[in-house]
Amino acid sequence: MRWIGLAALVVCATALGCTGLVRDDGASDGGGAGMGGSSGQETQTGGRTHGSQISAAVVPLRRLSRDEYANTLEDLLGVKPTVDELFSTDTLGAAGLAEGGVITSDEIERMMNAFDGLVSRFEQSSFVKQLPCQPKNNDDKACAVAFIEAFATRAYRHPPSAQELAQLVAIFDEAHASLPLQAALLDVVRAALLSPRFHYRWERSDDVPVASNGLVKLGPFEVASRLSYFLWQSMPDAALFEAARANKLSTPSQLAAQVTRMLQDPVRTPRGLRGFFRAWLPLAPLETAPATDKDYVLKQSSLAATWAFLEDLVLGSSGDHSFTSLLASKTAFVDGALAQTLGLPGMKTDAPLAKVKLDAADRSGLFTQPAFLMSTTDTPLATIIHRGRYVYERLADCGAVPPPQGAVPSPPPRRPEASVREQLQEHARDGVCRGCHQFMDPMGFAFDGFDKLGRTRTTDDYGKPIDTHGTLPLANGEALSFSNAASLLVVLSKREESQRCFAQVLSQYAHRSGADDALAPANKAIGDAFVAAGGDILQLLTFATQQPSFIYRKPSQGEVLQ
Amino acid sequence: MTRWELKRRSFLRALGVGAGMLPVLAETRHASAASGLGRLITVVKGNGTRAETFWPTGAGADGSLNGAVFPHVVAPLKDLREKLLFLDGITLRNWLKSEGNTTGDNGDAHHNWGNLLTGTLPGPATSSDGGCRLNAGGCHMGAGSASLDCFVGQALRKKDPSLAFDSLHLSLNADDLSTARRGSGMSCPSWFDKDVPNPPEPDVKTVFTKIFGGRQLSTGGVANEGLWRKRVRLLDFVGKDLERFAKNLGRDDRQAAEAHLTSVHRRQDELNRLLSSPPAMCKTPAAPTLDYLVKNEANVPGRSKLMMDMHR
Repeated sequence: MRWIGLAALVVCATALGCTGLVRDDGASDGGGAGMGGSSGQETQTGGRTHGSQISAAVVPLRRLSRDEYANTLEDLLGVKPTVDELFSTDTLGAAGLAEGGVITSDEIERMMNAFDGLVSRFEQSSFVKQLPCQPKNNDDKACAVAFIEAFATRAYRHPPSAQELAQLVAIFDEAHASLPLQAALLDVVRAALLSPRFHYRWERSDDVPVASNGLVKLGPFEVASRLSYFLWQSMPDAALFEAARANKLSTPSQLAAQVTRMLQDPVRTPRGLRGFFRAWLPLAPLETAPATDKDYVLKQSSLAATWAFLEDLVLGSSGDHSFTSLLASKTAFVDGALAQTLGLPGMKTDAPLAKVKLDAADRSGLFTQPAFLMSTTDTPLATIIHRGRYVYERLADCGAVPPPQGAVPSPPPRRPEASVREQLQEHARDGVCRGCHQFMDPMGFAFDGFDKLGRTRTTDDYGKPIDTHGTLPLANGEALSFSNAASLLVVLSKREESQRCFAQVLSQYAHRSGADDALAPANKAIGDAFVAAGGDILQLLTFATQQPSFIYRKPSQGEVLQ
Repeated sequence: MTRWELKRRSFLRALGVGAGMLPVLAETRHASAASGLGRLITVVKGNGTRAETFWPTGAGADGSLNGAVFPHVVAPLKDLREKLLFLDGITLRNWLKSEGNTTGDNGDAHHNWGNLLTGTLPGPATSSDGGCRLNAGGCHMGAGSASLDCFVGQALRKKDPSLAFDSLHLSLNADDLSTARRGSGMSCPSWFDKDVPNPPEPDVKTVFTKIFGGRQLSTGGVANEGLWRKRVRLLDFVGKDLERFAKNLGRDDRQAAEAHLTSVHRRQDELNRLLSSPPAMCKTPAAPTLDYLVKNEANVPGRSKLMMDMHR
């Protein structure tokens, strides 16, 4: 297995014999029989054909998300869009991941206005650099076509077909009848940016996909974009395009080598990392807080601190990229505003963000940081439910089912004589409510020691003493006992099931396919590998690309196939 | 007070005649049909209103509000009492479980919000979120058909084909597009058609551009026909490209591409109408400044006034 050439992966390689990772020769490694629901598949990877069992998910047509637009436009044009040039509004797609919604006529107007501004700045900055040739004169059609083909390859994220190229050249010809060469080429840039091939993650021309045994193998340019949007939330760079052209994105070692290279990018990788953690964490309330919010500065500080923590943990040079540290680290980032709020001594109020060691026994990793605590704050009762539900579903039981239809998602009315905990315990005794709240609420109680700003406290919002102890019965028969949030998180951080929950979300993010049963074998294999690697998040980013499901997809219903 | 029983068809007819607002509807009731173009303004208050702060008390037997007391929520409207009609006793039956609503009897009412102006059942579920459509142009909720405002817009267009737009669907949502990661206007009560959302437009610059036909805001110059023609050409390319793009896609994916194509054609039609009859009936107000694009609740009154100025 040449993919073991990556030193970082050697440790876990021997433990992965039965996880279903694809070998460089293209055969599925051990996972074949275990891939329930998959079809027999003749796969061709690394230029050879082998029989194996592969299971892959449907990948719905997906429009770029707002962040992906911002990053892609910047990488494509070399021009950073301003806030009002970002025309799209995200909606929730597969697995709750952000993506652009249906493009409306108003949005078309907005994007055309935005593209006028962006293309104008592109002309002034990097247009000339992107010319593959120096036009000999105003009528140098050959040079114009060379630019159109090169630009369309990057904007569409695949080489344009003859028909796609002809359409763009026709735009050029029509514009060039009345405009100079450069202005006509900029009209082609506008057209390419308006094309569906720019807006949708569907990196192939109009040729009919070939299906074999019910699966479609992704083309090299599709794999390049799958990698780049997974790790960077943006289009492929020149090296990825080159690898796609050379058809060097089909074996595990080729993919792993690209992941290793891509993670070294100091700009794109931190930007991309936020994409996954935005999907995993409930930080939207902080990110959308208006400047008029009285806690705006603190919210911004909290967000910056959490992003810094995550970047340091996953990409930092400490060598510890573990899931355990994610949940149980005693390291945090704080600035002056946060330090003052949290009561940390020794920092001036205007001090910049700095890495600090926390001594407090009640702080432990990401989920005791103010960003999580502030973003899950609601009314006193709802806060406990939100925090408990989030931690339960993301870390304790990732197979948890959503509330039944018709359930009223509102906490019980307040009873001033009772503590928040007592009221919720009473509420959870109700037959309908008990089904979910018996699991969610105990975890929420653990976090009741933090107020709406993430400060520690000993009395609840009604002035009653807080009790953060609890025992949580899990569906698999386990019971978790804890004294507060920190001790709960330490237990969860070492629990294999929690690591698998985390790996599953990352796998879905990498595949962008949502909760598709066909992805279950890949999720399991990736989870196994993650656990075997000691919960190393950096390695998990590679594991997610090593399954056959990463380079295959199941056709969607009604899709035209060969 | 008298509870007026109004049939949906009568309501639509009254609006379609050329009067959209409830005050004008009252005039229709009094058989004094308004002439000229009207406007339909719908205001949705998501979490409801306490009844005692909304309904006037002491109305006459004929519905007259002359002696009525206006509670504080509607007090600002009391000078318009002669033109107002308070419609009470309306049941949104499509919000009832017994009528087939999968989200239950009004229990999770915001899931049904998208159907407020459609009067029909939600569209089919596309996710596990109990009957909600989660992937519809920034709109969160499903709709079963075109909404009331779009019917009115279509009727107005039939009456006066020179109208540039069916609807301006202005929104004063404080959520600015610049930062609304969760989606500006989590619900979408206005729908062009089944599954085709008509989301609120909170960006005043876009509204300005739309009304004044894509004039270059930076120059504020005369109507730029050249720009419109170029955009029509580009959209023609996009439309053809989309048709090829959608050809081999699966059913759901093709629907998304076709919705995009519909939007392209709609915008092309709007631009073509502008080219055939450029707007010259009003003076262009000053272009909105960037201040109005920044998410800042303090700007809401200014943005509201600007939008209303543009709507005149």
